[in-house]
Amino acid sequence: MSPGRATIQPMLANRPSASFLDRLPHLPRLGLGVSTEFGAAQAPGALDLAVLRERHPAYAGFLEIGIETAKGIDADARAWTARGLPTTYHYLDINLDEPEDFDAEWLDDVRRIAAEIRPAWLCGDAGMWHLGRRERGHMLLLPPILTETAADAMADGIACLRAEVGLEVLPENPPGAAYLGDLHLLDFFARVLERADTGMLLDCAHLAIFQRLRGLPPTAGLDAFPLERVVEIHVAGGSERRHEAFAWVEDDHSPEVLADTWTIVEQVIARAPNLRAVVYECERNPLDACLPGFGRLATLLGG
Amino acid sequence: MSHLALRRVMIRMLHDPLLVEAIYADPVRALAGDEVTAIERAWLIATPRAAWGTDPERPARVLAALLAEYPATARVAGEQVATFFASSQFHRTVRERGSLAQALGEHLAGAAGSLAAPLARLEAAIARVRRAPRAAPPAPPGSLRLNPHAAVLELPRGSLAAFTALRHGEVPSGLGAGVEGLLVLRQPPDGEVTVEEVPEGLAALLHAAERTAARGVLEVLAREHGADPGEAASILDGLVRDAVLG
Repeated sequence: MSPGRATIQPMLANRPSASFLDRLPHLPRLGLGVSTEFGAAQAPGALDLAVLRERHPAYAGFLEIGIETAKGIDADARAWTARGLPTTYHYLDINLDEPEDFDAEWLDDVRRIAAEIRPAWLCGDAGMWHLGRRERGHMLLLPPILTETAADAMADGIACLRAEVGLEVLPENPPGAAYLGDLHLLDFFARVLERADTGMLLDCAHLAIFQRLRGLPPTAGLDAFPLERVVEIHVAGGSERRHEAFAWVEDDHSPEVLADTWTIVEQVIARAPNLRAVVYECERNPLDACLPGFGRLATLLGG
Repeated sequence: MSHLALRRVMIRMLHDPLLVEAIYADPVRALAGDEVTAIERAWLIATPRAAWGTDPERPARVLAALLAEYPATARVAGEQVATFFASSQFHRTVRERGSLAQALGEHLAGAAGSLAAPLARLEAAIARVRRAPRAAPPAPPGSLRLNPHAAVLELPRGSLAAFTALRHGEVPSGLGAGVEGLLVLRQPPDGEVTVEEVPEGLAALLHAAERTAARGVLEVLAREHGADPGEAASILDGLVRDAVLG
C-alpha cells in the first residue's frame, strides 16, 4: 500500500476545515500511471495492465479507474485492487454543478466502491456527464459554461462531494468541440479551485484542444494559473479532424500526443511543485505503441 | 442557473440539426422558450455552426440505445422513430431534466396504427420500473402504496399478446374489445422486469395504491371486488410480501 493512502480519510474526517494546502501533504505521490474504465482492458488490442505492471512497474505506479456506479468496476480493476496497488477514482457520472445529481443512492454507491478500491482521491471531468437524470442513454461529456456563476456552482458541488465521501475531489478540465462563456478555461478553473479550496487534475490534452479552438498558444493563461494546486495531470494523444470547414481535435487517447500537448506537459511538470500523479491515457492501445510516450514522461518526471 | 439552461440548449443542438438551423437563422425566436440571455445567444451563434456536428453519429447512437427498450413499439411505429430528436417530447425532456426513455415512449405513442400507443405505454412502464430507486421510503404506518418498481396499466385487450409476439419476432394479432389490467414488476435481486395480466379487481386495488392509501380503504376496495374480509387482508399481505406494495 502506498504510504499516504491510509491517512487521507482520517485526515479529512478529523480536520474538515483545514485548507487544501494544509491537507496536501497527506496526499500520496503516485508517480506515473495508467487509466482504465469498465471493459476497456478487454477490448481488442488494449493495454494489458498486468503485463505493463510486470514489465514496466515505473509506468504503472497506479491505476486510475473510470467508474460509472451503475456498472461498478470490472475484473481487471478488481484484480489490481486485490493486490493492494494504488488507485484513483475517476468519476464518469456526476454533474458537479447540478445539486439534483447528488442523490443518496449514488453517494452510497460511490462510498461503497471507494471503500473497495481505496483510492488516493476522487477526480474526473468537471462538466456534464449526462443530460438530465443519470440513466441509460443520457451519457455524454460536455465542458462547463465558462462563467463565474457556473464556476461557483461547480465549486459548491466539489465541496459537497468531498464532504459526503471523505476524500479529496480534484476537478478535471473536460474536452469539447465548443466552449461557451466569457472566461478562459484556466480562469474558470482557478475560480473553481479557490472557492472549493481544492486541487486540480489538469488534462493537458484537453487544454491544448481548448487553446487551439480559441486560437491561443498552448500555454496561454498558465502564468496566472495557481499551478501549486495541480496535483495530477493527464497526457493523451489526439487526432486532428475536420467537419465541413471546422477544424478540431478528437480526444481519442491514441498514443500520438500532439506537440501542443507536450508543450503544456513540459511547462506544467516543471512548474507544478505539488504534482503527485501523471496518467498517460493510452488504455485502448497495445503496449509497444505506448512505450515511447511512457518513456518521455518518465524522463520528464526525472525517472 | 442560466448556465444550466444554456447547456441544455447545447445538448439539444447536438441532437437536432433543425434546431441548429433555426438558432442561426433567428436566435431570439428559436430560443423564445428558454432562459438564455442575449449574451448567451450571442455565444451560441459565435460558435462555428459545424462544431455542433462533429459527432454526426451521436443522434443515431443515442436513439439505438433508447430503442433497445422499445423493441416491440419500434416495429409498429414506422417513421415516427426517426423524428424523435425534432419532437416536442425530446426538447421538453432535456429542458426539464427528464427521462429520454419516457420521452421516446410518449413520442412513439403518437405513431399511426392502433398498436403503437398501447405498446409504447407498456414499454415505457417497463423502462420506468427498471429505473426506479432500489429502496423506496416506507408508506406511513397504517398505509400502503404501490412501490416505484411496480406499475399497473389498463390497456386494450390483446396488448400483452401483441407485445409478446413482437418481442419474439412474430406477427401480432389485432387488439380486441375491452381492456386488460397488467402488472409490470421489477423482480429483485437481478432487476428482471416481468409483465403479467391481473384480474380487474386487483388492477383496481393497485391503481388505488398508486397514491398512498390507508390499508383499511384498500381492504374495503378488495371486498367491493368480491373478496371476503379475511381474504382482503390476505391479498394485501401477499402484495406486501411480493414487494408490490410497501
